[in-house]
Amino acid sequence: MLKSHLLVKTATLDDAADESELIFLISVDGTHCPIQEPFPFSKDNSSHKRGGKPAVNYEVAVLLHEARIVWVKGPTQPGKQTDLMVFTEELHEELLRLGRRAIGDGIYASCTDTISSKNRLDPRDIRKFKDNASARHEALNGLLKNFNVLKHEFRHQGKDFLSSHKLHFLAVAVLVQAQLDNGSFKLFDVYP
Amino acid sequence: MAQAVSKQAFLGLGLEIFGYVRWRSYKESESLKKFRKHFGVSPRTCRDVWRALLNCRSLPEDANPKHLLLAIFFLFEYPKENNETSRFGMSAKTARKWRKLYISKISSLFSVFVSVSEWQFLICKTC
Repeated sequence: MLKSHLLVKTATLDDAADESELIFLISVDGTHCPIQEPFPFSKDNSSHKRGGKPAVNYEVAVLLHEARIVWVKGPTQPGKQTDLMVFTEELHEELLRLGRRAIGDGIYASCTDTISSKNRLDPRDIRKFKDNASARHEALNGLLKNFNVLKHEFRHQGKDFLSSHKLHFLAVAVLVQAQLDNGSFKLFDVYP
Repeated sequence: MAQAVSKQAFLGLGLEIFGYVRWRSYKESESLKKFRKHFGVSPRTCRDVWRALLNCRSLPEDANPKHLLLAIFFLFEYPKENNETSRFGMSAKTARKWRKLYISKISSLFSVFVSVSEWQFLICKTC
């Protein structure tokens, strides 16, 4: 399954190494879903990805050796908590406990013990691997945003609109995962 | 107990909702393309989700696959209420009731579809 000996815990040229030997288990990133301006007005919902318009953020993690979503955390307020703050709340601890690492973008650069982001000193195939992992994660975000309920402003109002949004997000994640499982959608292989 | 529904049955039901009553005369690829255009997923995915709901015993006796399609259509298109109700031939109140129920049922499958032994403990927290 493994194609590069640089990505396993014990440097070996044995191609038969399995997933328990992998250093990098997941890729992680946040995705913003637009909502209507909540009342009372607050800058906490302001999303830099939407030019300051309101949104909610979900942290999504996907396995690197398999097309499987393994973690969804949210909704969080993008104007209040950055992706890094959300990550250090829970997922960081879990990765430390498992002794594995994740691939993330530049915002996670300070979490060097659990996240590896792009670095100009990386060898060529590691750089390629990280590029692939990031691109693959964006492709997954694209699959989620195929569903207009996450792409357009969420119209539900009221006190329970955040829990309602989460239900919709999880339902979309289930449909996307079902599509990945039965081969209707595919995520490309990240290993060089 | 609710019955299993084949992917062909989902395909036919979905296309008939959108007025393709002569769908049997279409090429299979064309039918699938039309289904995907309106629901964003394949009939096979609908069947898998329906089967998972059956396995979890979360469907009522008189469960209707049309209600699952209503929920999926809502997630994919996110239509205004009048557009949705005219398509599915039900009142706004009825559509809202079934849509809400089935979306919460689909979201409850998160721990079923996302099951990796090592990560199981995380999923329980998420849901």
